Amino acid sequence: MKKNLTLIAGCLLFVVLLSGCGLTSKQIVQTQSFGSATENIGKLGEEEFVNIRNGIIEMNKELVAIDNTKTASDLKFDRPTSPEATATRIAATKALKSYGDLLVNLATEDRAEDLQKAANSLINNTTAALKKDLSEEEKGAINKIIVGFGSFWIDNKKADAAKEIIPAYEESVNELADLLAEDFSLNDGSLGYIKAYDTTAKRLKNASMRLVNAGDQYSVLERDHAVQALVLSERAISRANEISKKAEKAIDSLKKANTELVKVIKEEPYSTDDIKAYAKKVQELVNMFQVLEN
Amino acid sequence: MTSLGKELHNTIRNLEKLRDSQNPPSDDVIAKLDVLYDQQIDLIDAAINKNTEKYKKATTSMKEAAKKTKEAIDDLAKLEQALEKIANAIGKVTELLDEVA
Repeated sequence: MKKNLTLIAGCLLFVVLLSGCGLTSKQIVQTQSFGSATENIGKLGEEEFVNIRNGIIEMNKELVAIDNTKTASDLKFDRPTSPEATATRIAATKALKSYGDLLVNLATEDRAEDLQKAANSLINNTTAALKKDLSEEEKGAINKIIVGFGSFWIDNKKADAAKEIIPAYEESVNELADLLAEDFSLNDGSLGYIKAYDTTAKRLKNASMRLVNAGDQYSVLERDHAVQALVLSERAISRANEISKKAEKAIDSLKKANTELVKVIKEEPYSTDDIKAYAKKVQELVNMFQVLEN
Repeated sequence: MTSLGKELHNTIRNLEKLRDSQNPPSDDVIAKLDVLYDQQIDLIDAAINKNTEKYKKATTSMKEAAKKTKEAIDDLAKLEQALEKIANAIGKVTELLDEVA
């Protein structure tokens, strides 16, 4: 019977070894980096698209107030950042963040409690069915074997899912990053949200300069309004640069994290620590079988 | 070939330099700049509308990715079924213990 026990243990361990390790520590770390990058993009999207739109509305109101060449046809204060365009962009960054969060959950979720509950239930059912009293040591050994194999099963499922999902959506993440890069770029030819904000600010500055430099042609009140508008525009121009730089960093981090994640998911670079941890798990299982043999 | 957006940007920049070199700035330059800013907003408007459609597609894709990931996480909860199979195999152990006893 010792031979049979050893045979069963050997078969089970062979199946485990064939199915391979779960995610490597490098893969888990890289998933977390990706999650962190999508979190930043999510925040950026939620805050800045709305701030940009609100800023444009405020500046356009000032523009129409100080520039008497503007008429009722100029009263589209949120142009070109419509509610639909803004909401669509925010939804996209939220969806990206949600994906990142879920990937981190998949990679790092600790199922130890679930495993233990399931193992307890199985042992109780098995001993009741057999109408046999197992010693505490035997129960403990069986419990650890079940939990050990269960843990291998979970690790493999996580790894299989990650290896299927992450490469499949690499391109979609990059495309979204490119759209965001355009919206937050102040480069010469760019035509996105931050450029709209910057252009609106410069237009307001331009209009206010006419009044501020007009000497005594305008009243103190009119000049004061123009000065306020000039200050508002200068602040917005400076803010546009800050937002653009912050966004460029966040988007760059996202693209790097995405590329690196796909690379490590495909490569399976097991570190020495990964192999040691795996070997330790297998050894623990072997030890438990030996407890049952004795 | 230089894009229209880039050309417009450069024209605006040059006119801004001219305006800033004048004291006071000429009304004519200020008025011309205002027209150019308006044209730039028009260009941006068209580009934003075009990209809004692309954003919608990207959102659909990300939601699909999130759904698949959630399904994989939920799959981990099918632990009991997997453990039952393992326990059945290990159940042979208790039968063997019976033989020993």
